Amino acid sequence: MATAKSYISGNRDGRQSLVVIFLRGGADGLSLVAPVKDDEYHKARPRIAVSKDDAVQLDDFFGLYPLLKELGPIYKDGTLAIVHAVGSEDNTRSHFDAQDLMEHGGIVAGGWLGRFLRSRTGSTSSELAAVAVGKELPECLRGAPSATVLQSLDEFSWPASGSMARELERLYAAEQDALGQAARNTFDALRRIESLRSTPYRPEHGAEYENDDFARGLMQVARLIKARVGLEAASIDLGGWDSHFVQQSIMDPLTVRLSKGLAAFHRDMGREMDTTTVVVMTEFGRRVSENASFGTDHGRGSVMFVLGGGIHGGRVLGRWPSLKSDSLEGPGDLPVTTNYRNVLASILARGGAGEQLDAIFPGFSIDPVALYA
Amino acid sequence: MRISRRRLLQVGSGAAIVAAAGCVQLPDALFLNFSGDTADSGPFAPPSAKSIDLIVHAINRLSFGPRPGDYERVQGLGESDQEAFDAYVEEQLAPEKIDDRVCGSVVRRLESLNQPLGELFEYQERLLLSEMVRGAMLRAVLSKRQLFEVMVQFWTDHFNIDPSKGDCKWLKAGDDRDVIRKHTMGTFPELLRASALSPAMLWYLDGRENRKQKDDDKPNENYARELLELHTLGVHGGYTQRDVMEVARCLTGWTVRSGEWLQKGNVEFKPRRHDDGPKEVLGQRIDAASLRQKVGDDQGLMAHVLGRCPTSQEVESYHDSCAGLALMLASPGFQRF
Repeated sequence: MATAKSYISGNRDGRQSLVVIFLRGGADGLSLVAPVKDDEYHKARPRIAVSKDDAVQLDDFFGLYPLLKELGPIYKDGTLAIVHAVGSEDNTRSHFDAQDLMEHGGIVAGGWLGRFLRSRTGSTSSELAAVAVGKELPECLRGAPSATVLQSLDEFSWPASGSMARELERLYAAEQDALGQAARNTFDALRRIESLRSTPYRPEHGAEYENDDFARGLMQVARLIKARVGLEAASIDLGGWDSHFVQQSIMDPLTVRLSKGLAAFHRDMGREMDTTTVVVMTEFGRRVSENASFGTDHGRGSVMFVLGGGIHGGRVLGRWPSLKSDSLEGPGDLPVTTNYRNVLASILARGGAGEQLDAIFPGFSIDPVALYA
Repeated sequence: MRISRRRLLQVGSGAAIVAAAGCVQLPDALFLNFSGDTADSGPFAPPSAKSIDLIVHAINRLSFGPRPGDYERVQGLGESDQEAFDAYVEEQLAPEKIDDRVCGSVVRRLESLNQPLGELFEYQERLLLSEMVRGAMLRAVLSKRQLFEVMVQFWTDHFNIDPSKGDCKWLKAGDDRDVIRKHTMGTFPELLRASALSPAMLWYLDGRENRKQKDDDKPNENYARELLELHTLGVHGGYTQRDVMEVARCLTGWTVRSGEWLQKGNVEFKPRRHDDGPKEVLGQRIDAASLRQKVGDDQGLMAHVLGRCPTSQEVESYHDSCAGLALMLASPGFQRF
C-alpha cells in the first residue's frame, strides 16, 4: 500500500481515530451474524436460531440478528465489514483469561492498543490521545503513553472549588516520578475538557443517541474527535453477553443498544468517518448447540465488525467452516479460522503501524485480513 | 459478567461511609462511647524505622485500617511488638469473644438484614441493596471484629453474586447472611457447599436452569465452570472443558423456586431433571446413585473437587479453615493479592 500517512487527514494532528468496542461476556457470533441458510445451524438450535425470515439479509448465506437492523444500511453502503469465525488461538473458555489474552495481544505485558500508541513516532502525545469511556482503564490500553478514563465529559471535573485543584497541582508538580507525570496529564486533560464543556454538544446530520451508557459513551467519543483534541484511540465496553440462559432475553436489549449506538455514531460523524475506524470484538463465541435452558455455553469463534474509513465493506470476510459435527472444535464449537490480530493488524497498518506490527503483536506471524482491498 | 466488590468499594467508599453513617442518625453519645481511647498521640509522622512496624502491619492487613487510638491499643496488648502482634491476631481470630454490641445495635436498625429468606421478597429491591451496602460500610467502620468483616468481604468477592440478576435482587441478602457471614470463620468445604446450594448462587450462575430432562438436553455449564475456575481450582488449575461439562451433569436437577410467592427462594432437587448416568470428574468416577446427597457430603462432588485443590503447605489451611487463610494474610512475608 502507499505510505499510510497519505490516507491520513482530518484530525487536528493528522491522525486517524480508532474506536474499540469490546462486547464483554462472550457474544454469540452465531446470532449476531447468523448462518441462516445453514441447515446444521437450525438443527443445533431448534428453539433459539435466528430464522431466515427474521434476519436482516446480508448475502445469500448470512443474516444479521433482527435487532441489529440499523446496521443493515451501513453494511449495504459498504462502510461496514464483518469477519466471521474469528477469535483467539487460545482455547480457554474463561471470560477473564480470554479477555486478558485478547486485550494484551497474547501472553505479553501491556495492551496491544497501548503498544500501538507508544510505537507511533512523532505522536502528538495529546493528553487526550487515548480515552477509555467507563470506570477503569481496559487492559488493551495498558502501556499507552497517556490514557484518560472518563464516563462523561460533563462529569469529568473537580467537584470542589478551583482552589483544591490548584493546591493538588502544586503538590504534584514537585513529583518527578510516574505518578507526577500521570497527575500532570490528568490536569492537562481537565483543562482541555473544561474548555470543551463551555459549548453544549449537538449531534449532527439528525443523529439521535439513545439514553444508555453505551450510546452516551459513543457520543462523547464523537464530540472529542470533532473537537480536534488529538484523540487517537478510544475504548468502550458493552458488557453482559454471557447468555447461558434464555439467550434472547439477554441479547435483545444489548443488540438494540449496539445497533442504535453504532448507527447514531455513524450518522453523527458524517465525513469524519473517513478518518475514523470502529472495531467491535468479543472474547469468544458460544457453543453451536443450544443448552436445555434456551441459552448457549462458552465456545470459540465469534464475529468482529469493522466500520469506517476506507473499509471495503458489505462483505462477510473470513473462511467459514462447516457446522457439521466433524468440523467443530472441542465440545461442539465454531472453530476460529481468522485470528483477531489479523483484523486489528490490518486496521493498525492503515493507521501507520507498518513495521511496528511485529512489536505490537509479538510472537505472532501476521497475515492481515484484506479489509481495504 | 460481574461487578466486583473491590470496584464497588473503590468507587463509593468515602462518600458512602458518610452517607451510611449519616442515614442512621447515630446519637453523638454512641460514637463518643465507642471511639475509645483517643488520647493525643502527637502529630502524624511517616515511619522512620527500616523494618516493618509489626503493629501497623497487623492493623493494615487484618482490619479496614487504623482508627484513632487503634495503634496504642494494639501496642498495649503485649510487652513487645511481637507479643502485641500475636495477641492481636489471636484476639481477631476469635470474633465471638469480642464484645461488639455497639456495632450490633447500629446494624440492627437495618431491618431487612435480619429477615428470613422468604420475607426478603416483601422489600423493594433498592432498599435491600442499600441496606446491604450500608451494613457493610457500618460494620467496616464500627465493628471491633475487624478481621471477621475483612474476611466477609474477601469471601463475598470470592463467591461473587451480582445482586442485579433476577431474584438475586432479593436473595443476595440471604446469601450474605446464611452463606458468607455464617461460614466466614468456618471451614472452606462447608462454605463451598453452602454456596453451591445457595438460592442466590443458583440464580446468579444459572444452576437452577441446569437440567437434563430429555435425551438431547444439554446441561447449563455456567456454575460448573465458575466452581472450577473461580471458586476452587483456578483457571490454570488443571481441569478441562470435559470436567466442566461433567460437573454440570453432576449438578443437574438442583433448582430454586421462583414465582409462587410462598415458596419463592426454596431450593429443591428435582430427580426428573437429573442426569442419572455415571460421570467422571477430574479423573474420578462419580456413580449416579444417591447423587442428591453426595453433592453435599464428604464423599460427593465437592470432596472430589476439593481433593484436587493445591496442597502446598502454605495453602493447606485453605482447605479446611477459613481462619487459616486469614492467618496467611497476616504473615509479614505474604504478598497480598
